[in-house]
Amino acid sequence: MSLSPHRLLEFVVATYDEVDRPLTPADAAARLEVGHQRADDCFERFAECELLATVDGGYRPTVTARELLDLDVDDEFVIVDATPDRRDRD
Amino acid sequence: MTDDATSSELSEKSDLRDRQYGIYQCNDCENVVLTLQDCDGGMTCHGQTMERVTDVNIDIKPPDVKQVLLDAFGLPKPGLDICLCVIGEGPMPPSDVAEQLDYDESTVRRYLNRLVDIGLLEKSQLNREDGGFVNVYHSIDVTEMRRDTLIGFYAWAGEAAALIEEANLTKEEYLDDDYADDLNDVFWDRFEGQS
Repeated sequence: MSLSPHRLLEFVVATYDEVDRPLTPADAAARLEVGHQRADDCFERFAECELLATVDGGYRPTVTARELLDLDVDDEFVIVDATPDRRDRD
Repeated sequence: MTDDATSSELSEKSDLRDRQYGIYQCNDCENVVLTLQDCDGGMTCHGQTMERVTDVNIDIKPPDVKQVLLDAFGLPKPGLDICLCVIGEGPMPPSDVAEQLDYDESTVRRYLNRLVDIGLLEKSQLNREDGGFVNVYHSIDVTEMRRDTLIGFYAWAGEAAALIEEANLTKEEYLDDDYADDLNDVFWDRFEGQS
């Protein structure tokens, strides 16, 4: 069974806090049983959802990612809308 | 499918002995109940064991899941498509969902909010680093969802059963009383505004 995106995000947050440097998909692929392409795709999607921010040639988790993990929801169904419409902002 | 084939399918559906659900009737009163899970010893009504119904005398049309979700929860097929597209995929932005399903992003957002209104999803707001927030739509607990959808459907089925009972009573009342209008007019006047 392949690693779930949720577990991958948990790994990124925990590892970033441990090593205190940006991570790359290659780091995740090397440390976890996940293919490079899969890691690339997940990182890219996390960035689209504003869960990861690009920095110094790698990625760091955002406050949004930490709050998402605190929600304690799994991969069952998660949509992150980083551009909510104006009605939601008012 | 031919009419004969349709009749045959409906006829098979009318045999209730091997169905996942059970319908029980009380032999002392007119109570009829539907259950998906028999209690030990069967169902009871005012302390008496109820009899399991094994046949339906009226042909029933097999339900279609799309129509059931639309009628019971007001959830059109795109809402279900969104659920099926996202489940197990990890966090996704609405733009990816829209691209995969060939919908507008506004359509995806509309149905996400509909799913929240129905109670099938929860919506949370998380902070973003440059100010403001992001909306997160996520599933509720699976056990809770199963219970809520079943109770919601039973409530809808109860409303439907009450309508059918009212329709039958309207017909009986018409036959017992001396109405000047045709049954057709009386019947639809009674239900005007309910649909």
